[in-house]
Amino acid sequence: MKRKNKYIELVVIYAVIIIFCLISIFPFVHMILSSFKTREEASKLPPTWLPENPTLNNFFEVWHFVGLGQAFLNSIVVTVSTVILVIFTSSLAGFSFAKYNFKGKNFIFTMFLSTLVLPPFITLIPNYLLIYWLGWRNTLWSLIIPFACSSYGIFLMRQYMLTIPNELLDSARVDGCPEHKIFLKIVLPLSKPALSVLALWTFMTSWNSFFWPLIVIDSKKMYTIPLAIMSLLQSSLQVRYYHLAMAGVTIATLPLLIFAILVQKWLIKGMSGALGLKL
Amino acid sequence: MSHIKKFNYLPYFFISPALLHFIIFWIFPIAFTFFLSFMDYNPLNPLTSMSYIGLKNYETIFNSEEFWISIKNSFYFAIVSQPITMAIGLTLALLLKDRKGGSIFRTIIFLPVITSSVAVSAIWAWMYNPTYGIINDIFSKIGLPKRNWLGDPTTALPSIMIVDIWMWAGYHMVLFLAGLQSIPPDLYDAAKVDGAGRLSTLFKITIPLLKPIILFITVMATIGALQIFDLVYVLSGMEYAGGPAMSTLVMILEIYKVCFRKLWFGQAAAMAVVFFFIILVISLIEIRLLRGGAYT
Repeated sequence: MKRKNKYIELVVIYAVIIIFCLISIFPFVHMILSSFKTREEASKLPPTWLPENPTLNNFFEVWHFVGLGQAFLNSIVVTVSTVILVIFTSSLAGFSFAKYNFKGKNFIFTMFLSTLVLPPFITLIPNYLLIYWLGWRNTLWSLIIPFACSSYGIFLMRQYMLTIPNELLDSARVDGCPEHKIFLKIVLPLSKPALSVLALWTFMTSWNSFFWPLIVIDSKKMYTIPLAIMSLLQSSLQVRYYHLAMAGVTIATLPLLIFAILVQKWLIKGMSGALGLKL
Repeated sequence: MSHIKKFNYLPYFFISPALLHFIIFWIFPIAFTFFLSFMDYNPLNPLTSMSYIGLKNYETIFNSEEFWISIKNSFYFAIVSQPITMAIGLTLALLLKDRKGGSIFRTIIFLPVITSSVAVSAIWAWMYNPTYGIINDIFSKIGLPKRNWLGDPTTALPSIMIVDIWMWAGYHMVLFLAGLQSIPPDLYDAAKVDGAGRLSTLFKITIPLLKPIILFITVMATIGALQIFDLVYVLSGMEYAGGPAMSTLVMILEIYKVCFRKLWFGQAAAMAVVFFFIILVISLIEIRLLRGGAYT
């Protein structure tokens, strides 16, 4: 009897899990299936679930329709530059906070930390005005420079670098190793796990960023992927080109989704890092 | 160390890029938002046209209907969607912990989190489509009435909540899983030896020990939900965002419209200041309440 109960319980648990998985994955499957439909089929009633005459045309058509190639290029430039800058500023500052004592250290560190809970919109308008006055609207600079530093990154790097033993640094100092070399040759290589977590996390947030680009970019030539999807959706709402929209969204999201699945473990570590848990 | 310590400029040198960035993009803007909220300013005019108008911006926004509606909508959104997202996240975490095949399920449920919010909105906008959408198709197949999900003021915001919950449940699940992993397993063994049932283990061991993480997630999720923008902007129709009939007008969307559509920068800054204090107070209340209940 007891055994039977256990069996039933297991079935129920897996059923619940599988239902949640199906709900999670269904919209993606639907997106991919819709992207193979012809125009006639996409506006057929009742809607079909599987494409009747699957076609690849939508993908070719949509690529030029919204300039997805340019958007990919812009997104890559913005994201890669942001990641490099964030790694640079965060690792340096994290190193300083973890391995030195200096006046005002705690105060400055607390200030950095406080921005993690401050709502970012409080800085929105002045930051926009700054970009406006600098004449940086519709440039990729406006998408990179304001995100060149991350409090989360500083926190993450500091936490990780605290675990590197001071004796290691001191023995290098005794050997006459200058401080910048200690950073570059000892601390940085040892921090690789934290650096990759930070790089991935920054990559993802930068790639998906929407609100800020929406404000500072109007020119189609400077669109990043999220803006391109938006404009695609805007035009397809008017003319009911949902099959094209779904093809565009598929192209724009699938490569990243696959990449994200591959590095998922690290992304999750990055999120747990936000909790101050062990990496 | 035998050498005489001089003033060590190095640590300051190392934090200088971060600090400079912080001053330019955080400290100065926060101060400037407060300053701007007492000003009349339109960026299309030269900077010299900025003029001090006292509390007039605040007066205007407090008399504006849209401002109050946006606050109401944001609270409605946060109060309904946050507990549901957290409950689903915690349930999934409890179900998936140490479960065979758990990592595959976790990956699948995590997929929406890593997708861009605009792509998510695009997919759901297509599914919500009143004529060709798959959701109405499912509804009619099981005999329920079709609805104009995003076009009807009563269902528009709840429809967006569903997307938000769908998107973020996996994120909460992962955070809770990380929290569950940090509970030492011998506590569970001890509970088992003492003959504790599963429910009492959950309420006497798991949940109390998860308290710091529950606190963290609640505060962060509330701050996040009160600042919802991307999903609402795209799903409520981009240039028509906030509609139908202001039913999806949320706080950040209201700032966006006043600032970048109407170009009333002073009023938008005043709104940002008010919203800022609202979010601050809510976070502090939550920390108080949840801390107060902690067993330590």
